[in-house]
Amino acid sequence: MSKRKSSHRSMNGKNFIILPIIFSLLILGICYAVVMPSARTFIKMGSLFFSDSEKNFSNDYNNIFVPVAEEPEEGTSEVSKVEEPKTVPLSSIEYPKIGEQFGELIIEDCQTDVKLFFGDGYVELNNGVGIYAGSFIPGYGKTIMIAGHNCTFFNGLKYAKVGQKVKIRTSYGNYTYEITDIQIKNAKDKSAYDLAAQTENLIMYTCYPFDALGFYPDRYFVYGKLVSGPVIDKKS
Amino acid sequence: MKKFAKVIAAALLAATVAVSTAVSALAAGINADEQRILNVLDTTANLNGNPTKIPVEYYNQAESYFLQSDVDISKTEADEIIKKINDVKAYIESIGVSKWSELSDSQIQKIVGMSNDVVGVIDLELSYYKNAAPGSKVRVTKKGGSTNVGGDDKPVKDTGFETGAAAVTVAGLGALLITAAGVYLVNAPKKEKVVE
Amino acid sequence: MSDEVELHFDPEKKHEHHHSRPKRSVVKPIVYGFMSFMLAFVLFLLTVCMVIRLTLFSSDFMIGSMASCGYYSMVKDELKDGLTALGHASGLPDSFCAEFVETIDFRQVEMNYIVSFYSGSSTLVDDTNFKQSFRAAIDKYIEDNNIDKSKTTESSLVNLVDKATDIYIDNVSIPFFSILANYIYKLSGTLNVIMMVLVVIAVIIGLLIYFTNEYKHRRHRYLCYAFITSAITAAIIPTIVYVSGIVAKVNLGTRSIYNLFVTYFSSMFRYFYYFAGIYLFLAIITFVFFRIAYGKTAKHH
Repeated sequence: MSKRKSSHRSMNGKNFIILPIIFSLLILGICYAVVMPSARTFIKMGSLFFSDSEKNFSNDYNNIFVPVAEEPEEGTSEVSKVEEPKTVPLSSIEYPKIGEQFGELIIEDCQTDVKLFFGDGYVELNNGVGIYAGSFIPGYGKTIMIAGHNCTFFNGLKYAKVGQKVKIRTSYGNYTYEITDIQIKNAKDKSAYDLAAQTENLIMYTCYPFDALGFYPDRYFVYGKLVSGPVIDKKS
Repeated sequence: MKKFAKVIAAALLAATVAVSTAVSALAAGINADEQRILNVLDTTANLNGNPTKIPVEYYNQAESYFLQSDVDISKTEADEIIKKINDVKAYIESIGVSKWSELSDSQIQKIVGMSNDVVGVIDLELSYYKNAAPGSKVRVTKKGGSTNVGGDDKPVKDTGFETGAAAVTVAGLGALLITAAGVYLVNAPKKEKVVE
Repeated sequence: MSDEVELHFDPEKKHEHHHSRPKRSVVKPIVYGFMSFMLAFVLFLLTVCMVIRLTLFSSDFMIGSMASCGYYSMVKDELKDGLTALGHASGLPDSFCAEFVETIDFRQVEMNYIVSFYSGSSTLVDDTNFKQSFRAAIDKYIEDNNIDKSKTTESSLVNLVDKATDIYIDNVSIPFFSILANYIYKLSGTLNVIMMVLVVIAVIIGLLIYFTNEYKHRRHRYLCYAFITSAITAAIIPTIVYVSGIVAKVNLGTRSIYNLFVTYFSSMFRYFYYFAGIYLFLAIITFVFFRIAYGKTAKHH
């Protein structure tokens, strides 16, 4: 029997791979062409909700505070006293990010010695007191607005009186403020603060009344003026 | 009008908050290009005949962010940002409505989409939490992280709890349809009040 | 696509064979190929619809996702954190908030929320019980601790309860539900109709392929093509999603919602693999039948 030439292409297994692949690409291509024009907007908006990496839910915070030498007491005659610089270059400062501890706030007369954060969110106020991110840091020459819980870190503000000293220690300098005014205002009262002020002023606030049970609309504002501390030189 | 200043603020704040360009050992400070952006932020927008500036707290947030040591906007980025800011500003001015409630969903969507284009230039993302309490609806964060860069939170808080994880509700898919600009408009405050 | 079976050619019967050799059809393979393609397309659409039906439009799937990702305990912790922070601003101690949260049955709360959502009765969290319980707990706290009445006012307590309720609703609710609601209510019935139509079309195409083909092996071959294609298209979508890792990169505000989202959509995409597996099984079956039928046909000729 002679050899038969056969071309049983239908038995060629390749058709069972190539054809389905071609079909698949066609199907997906058609779906893409049909769906994409109308879905483009949704996909673009949806991309807002996806990052380049997985979300971090940690409540840990970064601490960039490194204490500098204390200011010498007035009237001391120590030979070794170190004078604080009058200015500090902006370029030498590590400006804090939201959520970072960058200093400490001390009001001795109010038994307050707490961590100072930049930002006033959940983590910051659960660990200390925090500067509103729409205000600035000590030495910058503008408004410093600090929030704290009245039942915890700012409970001592109830003892605040005009004339008391507020110390803020940072990695770039130590600052002293003097309390100039105390007011009780509604939380929605915008006259309680001036974020556009071009002179350094300190505002500390917390919920009011203290040691009360319930949620109140009033806030306890404590205002202070700068007494000493290096001015941040923005030009250097 | 102040309400619409918030609209611009949403766009401009998102636009001006610059990403870290991963250049280490940079000093704190505002370079010339960042200052150009701040200058644009400081301009007025003509909202239905009313010259309006953005609220100072948003300007301050932008300034604070630029002050960070690892934030350094290049000239190219600044040019692109400023152009997109002006596009958003022009669009908002062209809408010609006098109240936030007159903006349609598509207009809101467009504004935030444009804002996010700006954010995209500088590797940030703007998250919109439609159902969150006022003052917690918009967050500008670095892409991929939880680091806050700015937002629409009001200056005087309820001492922290409303910005906590529990209080910030995720809009999820809802925000695909009604994006961030809406929050400024939805919560547009009356002249002397901050919406709580 | 011409895959005609070429008959064995016996040179000794060349003359005889020449007059009985069947003509090679060109049109038929194209037509059946097209039908095979259409069957695959319909099956792909049906797969998408069924996955949507079994996941997005299913309350059981949502409840199952919550259970598998530990959603309830995370929500409890987050609510505890939120109420604790509220307590710091309102005079409630941490222990009060922690103990109160322990009294909440989050599984039941979420189940009620989801069931009422999918049934169309409400997309809102029922906060009645929470409000009453929280207020009662505060009143009891005041009484048990002999809190001076001057230290509180009715309006401040009402504010406190309202704030706590807002936190509770924020934690318990699933935000994207409010958007899904519209689509689920409007499309649920439509989806069922679409699925039925697709099933009918698929059956018709399948029957056409099967009964209009004179050779059994061809029937099975074209069906096999369709099932292999369906398996590939069903598997491509989740593969792309898993390889890109996009689901885990979603930027959501709380850990509980994040985990729920990741678990939910990962499970949803897995359904595509299940359908791909079914199609692959059918492809194997039809391939086996094809081989058997082909062997008989070749033997016969």
